Amino acid sequence: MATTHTGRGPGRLLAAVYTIFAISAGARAIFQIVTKFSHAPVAYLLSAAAAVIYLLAAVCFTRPSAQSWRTAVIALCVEFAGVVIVGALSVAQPHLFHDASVWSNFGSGYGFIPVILPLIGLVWLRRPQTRDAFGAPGPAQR
Amino acid sequence: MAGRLAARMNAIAALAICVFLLAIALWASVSAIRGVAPSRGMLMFAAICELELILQALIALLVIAKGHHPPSMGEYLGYLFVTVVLVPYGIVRARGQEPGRWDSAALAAIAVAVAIAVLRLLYLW
Repeated sequence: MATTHTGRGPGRLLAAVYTIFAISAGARAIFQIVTKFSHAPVAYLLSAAAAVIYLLAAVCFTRPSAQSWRTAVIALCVEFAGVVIVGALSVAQPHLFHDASVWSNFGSGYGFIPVILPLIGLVWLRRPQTRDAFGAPGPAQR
Repeated sequence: MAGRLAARMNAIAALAICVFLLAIALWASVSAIRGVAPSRGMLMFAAICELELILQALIALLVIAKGHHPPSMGEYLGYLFVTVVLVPYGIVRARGQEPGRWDSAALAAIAVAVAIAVLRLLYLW
């Protein structure tokens, strides 16, 4: 039945939070790219890439299937790696970024939520109930 | 003088909207903890708040069109867009099929996010 969905569970909140981030990061990146792209192209493109990943994850959360589950896991891993790598670079080599991106300083501009969110998402995705809801194989069956 | 008065009015209006949003966040959190979907009253409250946000955005765009230039225009417009679109998203979700406690939680998260965006706007003006 289509309405079993990520259901009635915390996945709905997670999908909403990912949508909030996709819209926030995306809108900011688009307007910055349009108004002053040359000022900090790396930072703005990173923000735009982050927005795309957030959007991808949000879509996967709302359309449960085994494929969505796998895509979401990959998206969240990329997201976490991105926050950690960009965060570390922005601290160690600040001259690379002329303006803040969503992932700068481990997402400090967004209350460090960008670094915590993928971890919460991955924990949720790995729960047996979530795997069932997505129709994803459990760890034993793989 | 008139400019400073306008700036103070701007700050007061923004803070009033934030208080409104935090009230919604609190109400929605209580609903989430009690395990119920957002009530009609809460969604009406959110819709009123959205009208305030649209009004704020229109005034901001008008002042920008008249020549005001926020130091970081791209960021400003990005946040302005965020303040206007998120609340409707929360309302639409909450009116979807089988709304539940997690839609209340989502509305609370949206209200907090918009409140932060409104404060950012004030700071970036």
